Amino acid sequence: MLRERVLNRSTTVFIGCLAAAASAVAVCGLLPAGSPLHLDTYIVGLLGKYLCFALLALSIDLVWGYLGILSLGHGAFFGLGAYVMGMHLMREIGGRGVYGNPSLPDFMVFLNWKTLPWYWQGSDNLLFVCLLVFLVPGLVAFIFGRPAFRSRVSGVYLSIITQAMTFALMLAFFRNEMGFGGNNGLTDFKSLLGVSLQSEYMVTALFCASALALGLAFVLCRVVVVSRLGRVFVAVRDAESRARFIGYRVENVKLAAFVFSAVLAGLAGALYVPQVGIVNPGVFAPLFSVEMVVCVALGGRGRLYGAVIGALVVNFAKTRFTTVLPDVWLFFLGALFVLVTLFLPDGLAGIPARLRGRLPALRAKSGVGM
Amino acid sequence: MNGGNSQKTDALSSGAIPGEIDDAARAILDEFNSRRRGMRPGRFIPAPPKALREKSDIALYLEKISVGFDGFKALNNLTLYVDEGELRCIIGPNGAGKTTMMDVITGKTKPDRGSVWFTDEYNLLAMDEVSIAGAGICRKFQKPSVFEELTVLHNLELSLKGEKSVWSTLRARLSGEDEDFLEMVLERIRLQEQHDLAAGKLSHGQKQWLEIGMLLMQKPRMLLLDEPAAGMSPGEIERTVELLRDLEGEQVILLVEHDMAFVRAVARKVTVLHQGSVLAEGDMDAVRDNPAVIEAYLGTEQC
Repeated sequence: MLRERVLNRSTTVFIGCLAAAASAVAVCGLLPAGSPLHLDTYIVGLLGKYLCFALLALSIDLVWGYLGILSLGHGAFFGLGAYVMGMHLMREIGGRGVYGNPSLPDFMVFLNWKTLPWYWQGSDNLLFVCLLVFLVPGLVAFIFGRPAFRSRVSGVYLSIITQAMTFALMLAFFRNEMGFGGNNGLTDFKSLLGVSLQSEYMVTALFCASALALGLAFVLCRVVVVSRLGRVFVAVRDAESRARFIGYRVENVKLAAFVFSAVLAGLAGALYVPQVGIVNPGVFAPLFSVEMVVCVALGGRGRLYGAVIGALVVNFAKTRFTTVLPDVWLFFLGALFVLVTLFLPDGLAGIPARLRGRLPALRAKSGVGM
Repeated sequence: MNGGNSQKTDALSSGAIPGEIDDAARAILDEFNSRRRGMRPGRFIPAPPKALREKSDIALYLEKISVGFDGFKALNNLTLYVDEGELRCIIGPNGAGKTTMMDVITGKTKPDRGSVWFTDEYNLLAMDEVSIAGAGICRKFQKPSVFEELTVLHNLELSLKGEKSVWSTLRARLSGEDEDFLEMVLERIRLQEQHDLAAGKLSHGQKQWLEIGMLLMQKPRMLLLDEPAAGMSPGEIERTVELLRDLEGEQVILLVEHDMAFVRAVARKVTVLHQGSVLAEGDMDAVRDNPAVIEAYLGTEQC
């Protein structure tokens, strides 16, 4: 019964497509270079990066689409997850860095630091780092969300303070004294678990890990959304005081969803870093977070798969545009957002329902309800 | 060994006597606690009024309530008793104090004088809004407010009485008992056919019924309905009357209404409020023939 509700038709189709596409890409990525179906590691890595953005968009859709919390700072949680993973990759460089210092990352040697700061301790242990990937974004979301939701900050005010949060983090991470590489961030990674990050096996493995994470996160989100808690989300979104009146602790509902969403965003960031090879304070830039929100709006919010579609489409377009017409990209993104809001209020995912001539709202309901 | 045993028996027998006292004390304490359920701690707990102790079927007891707002007396020495299981209509011209009375019962407004009891268990004046709601006194406001995006069934499900923390909500399943209860409420509010429809798609009257259903899900002991028939079509009014008659007897229903035709159709005991106090009480015809009522109310409204 539960399985049927979680894996409804659209979810089954989505998971099926994801699994098929991911295995096809993985197989083609591992074919010998001469084969006609061979995919370059660059392409595989790029697709893996898209999947990470899709996971981030999914986490935004959970809180925005279902609970009505428009977070314009989800890049912060993505960034925190990314930095945690980046720290591990820095430690893994070891003596292979430019300065050849086996215990200190290059930028610390450059800053004339003698010892590793306390918060870098333990970052050489991958298991510990994996734990931190979930803990750090979750904890920051908790510390940020608890007072915000308790004092009933909502709507545009909440959006503004999420934006302020990510901006503050960006300024902090820009500082060299923070011990996270300042302006340049963390880069020049060599390997993970002793396997070179450039090797086709590692690239394919990371891609598969991203696809797996996205699939699992999607199913988890479905479980939440089809539960009674998911209905409470929608109730809070549409009539918060009424939900409170019935006896639900709205602030706890929001906090739980926000923290869960932040954890997913952190996971996305952690998978993103080894595939891109760099993390810098740019991930905390408000623009990045806003761009991800645009992805969700474009794909169609409140149905989970819409966010994934939006993230894939926007980032593919971004890759194309920034190579062909780099100056036009932002204008294009803005225009896309305006057009979608005006003509496709349900986003790309709402097109089939529109074509079928049914009321789009009806479809949204079936997505939310059963 | 022997000595140790006898010591043990001693301890047991000596413990038995305080144990008996404990039981007696616990009975008194339980009695005491049951009276102060939901009350603010550290408050003096008055005994239930004499009328309540003598006549046990009074459910709602309002005695000599006065509420003033900046010199204006919204309620003036209002005394009103409603029996267990009764459906009582409250009518009165604008400004008669109907809404203020509801506010006093639900704890939104604290009166300057008087006492308010719900059965002999709850001294409502010593309780806040949340604990009054927890005691099973539910109020339906005039404007229908339902979760428009959720289906009728889910609206009712969310209102189900029970644990409402995040974790238990995530794991919540409808038990067979819950489903039967849901089905029964659906039937009562006559929305079985619409159970899968989004609440936003319902007509105005249906939304009102759904909201009454949401209150019923919480198994209330008293329902306060503020003009439930406002804005309804004649057909809907008829069905609302049926619904109210259906609910009668299981919980106390206090119905504040403006629409005389509706009150006549309900045809139960009517209390007329005027300038903050009770002007007349009785069945609709008796009330209508009361000269004071004609002057105060019916004279201005064609009936």
